[in-house]
Amino acid sequence: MIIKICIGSSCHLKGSYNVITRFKEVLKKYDAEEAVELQAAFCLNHCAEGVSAKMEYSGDSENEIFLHHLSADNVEEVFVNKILPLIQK
Amino acid sequence: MAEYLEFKPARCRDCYKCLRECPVKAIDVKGHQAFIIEDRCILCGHCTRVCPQNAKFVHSNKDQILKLLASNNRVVASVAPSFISCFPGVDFVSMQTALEALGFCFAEETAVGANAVTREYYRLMDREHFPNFITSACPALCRLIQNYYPKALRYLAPVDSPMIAHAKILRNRIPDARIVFIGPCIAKKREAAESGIIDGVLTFEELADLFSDRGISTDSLTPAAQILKSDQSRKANLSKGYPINTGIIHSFPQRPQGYEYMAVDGADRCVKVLENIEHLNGIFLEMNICEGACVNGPCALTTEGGYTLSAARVQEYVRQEQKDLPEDKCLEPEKLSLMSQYPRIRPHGMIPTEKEIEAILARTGKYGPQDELNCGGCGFATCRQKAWAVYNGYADVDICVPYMRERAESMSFEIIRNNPNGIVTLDTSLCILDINEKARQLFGIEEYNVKGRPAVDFFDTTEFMMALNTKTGRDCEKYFIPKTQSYIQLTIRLLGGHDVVFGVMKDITRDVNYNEKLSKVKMETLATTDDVIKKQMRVAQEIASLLGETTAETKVALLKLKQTLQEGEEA
Repeated sequence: MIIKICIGSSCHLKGSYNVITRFKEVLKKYDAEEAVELQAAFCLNHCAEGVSAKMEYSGDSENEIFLHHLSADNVEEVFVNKILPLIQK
Repeated sequence: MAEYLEFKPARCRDCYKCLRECPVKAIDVKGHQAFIIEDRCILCGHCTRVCPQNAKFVHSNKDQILKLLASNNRVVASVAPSFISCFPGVDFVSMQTALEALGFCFAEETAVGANAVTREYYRLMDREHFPNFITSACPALCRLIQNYYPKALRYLAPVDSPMIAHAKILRNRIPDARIVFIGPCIAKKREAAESGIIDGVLTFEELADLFSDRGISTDSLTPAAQILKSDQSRKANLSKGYPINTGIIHSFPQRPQGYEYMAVDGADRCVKVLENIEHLNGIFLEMNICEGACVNGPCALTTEGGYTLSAARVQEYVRQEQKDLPEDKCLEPEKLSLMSQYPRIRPHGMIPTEKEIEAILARTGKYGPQDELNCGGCGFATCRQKAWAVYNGYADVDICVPYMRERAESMSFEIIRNNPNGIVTLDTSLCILDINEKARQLFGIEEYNVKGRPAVDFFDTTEFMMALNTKTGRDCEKYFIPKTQSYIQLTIRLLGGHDVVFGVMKDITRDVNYNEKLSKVKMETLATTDDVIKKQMRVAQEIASLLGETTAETKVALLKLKQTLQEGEEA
């Protein structure tokens, strides 16, 4: 699975740098570094709902899920609730 | 570990020593009794040594092996070379004889397999350069890496352990052989069972028991049947040094270039190396979970000289071999495949999120990094590790020593406990955190352990719920508890960032009852007074009416008399 975290101007200002750092820590904690590839992306056109990110899985562009309102505080929660169930399948 | 290692019940005394010493914290301390968490345990056997109560025991296959020996099968023994330190003064020929007396048809040293393993290592390292190379002879180490250090898996030699390699060689030579391994190791029991090629494992302790049961003394025996004796030992086998630290390194007739050769022994040291494995480069690591390697295994027979003497005996044994026999320069690998896979094993157990860890830490009064002492008193290395164990149900939350001390010493705790007012603390999900004696009495709670249970099972929590919802304290002048027929004055306040709520209850049952009685008496007195007044009035009126009547009659009579007198004068 690939997770593209927006580093466009708006999301950058809303703290996407911290979100990426936290994401790395969380992936390490849950031993998911192999299953999840972290990437940065330019503006995903969801500036109002930033920090936003896009999940792509099964190598299929159909399987896309947007994640909104990410922050350093809720990264772990989002990971456990939305990402972990997908990669454990 | 139902099948390999277990704790005797009721001898465990809350000391957490095994947990403190366990390199992987695979011990579950629940209700003052320790259990082994099967899928986390690497069977290093360390806990069997440190337990002050000697409460741990290793499951024995003795009976199963005796049955096997009694059957018609050809049972072959593969004996770990550390036998030399466990049965001092016994050479392998008399060991063979003793084993034959037990019913084995043939015995050979596992060093034959170890030799093949060394050659296999040489072949791999000579063919391609590994960033690092970790020996796979120690089954507890392999398990440790498979379970906990997946990053080191790619450095772990994909080669069988000497025991399995030897079993493969024996099976190749004697296809119908049933193979029994004899060594100082608990982890070998699991490895053997999982390999499917070995029929049983005896520890040296069990072997010594069998010898004494059968009255076999190893030193008085002379070799009886030399015919089948090993033909491999014509050349010096340096692999007989495998059970000592650096033994594997010294077993190479010629070491592949480009590596630094290091030996690491002891679980703690192994863990430290594995934690930093990514920073290492070009290192050949001979790793053994037991301190001093296999000669100090959990089921080795201990000598008074400790493992130093044991290691010295093995060294002497190898040197003797070198002296007696020609050097073995062979580096050709065995024709059999001795390759093995060590897949990743994921132990069960859930990972708590940061918030869940914080909530657990808060239950023992840890509200930030400054409160996390990481003292290790509970047996875990860090407070967070303990929180993880609590989350997975492997530990009780209140085993924190500083917390217990603080609680025991704190005067306020005593004051709360002995307070004449009832005091109860609830968490946000309205479970009882603490309750004092008076509050129990007021609510009529008979159960002893109510902590952590939902308060609603014991009393009406409406007021507390409203306090939590509105995030303000509440005062209730008169509150009736039907169960105990008592009246209380209830004051509810919120504590510490709104995640704990407590109520103070003043018993006003006596006051309420007294007031009720008083007003009853008053009412009765009032009613009596009314009655008396009414009666008095009636009597007065009756008297007055009688008086008026007689007065009127008298007046009429007197008037008549006066008239009569006047009429008499006129006539």
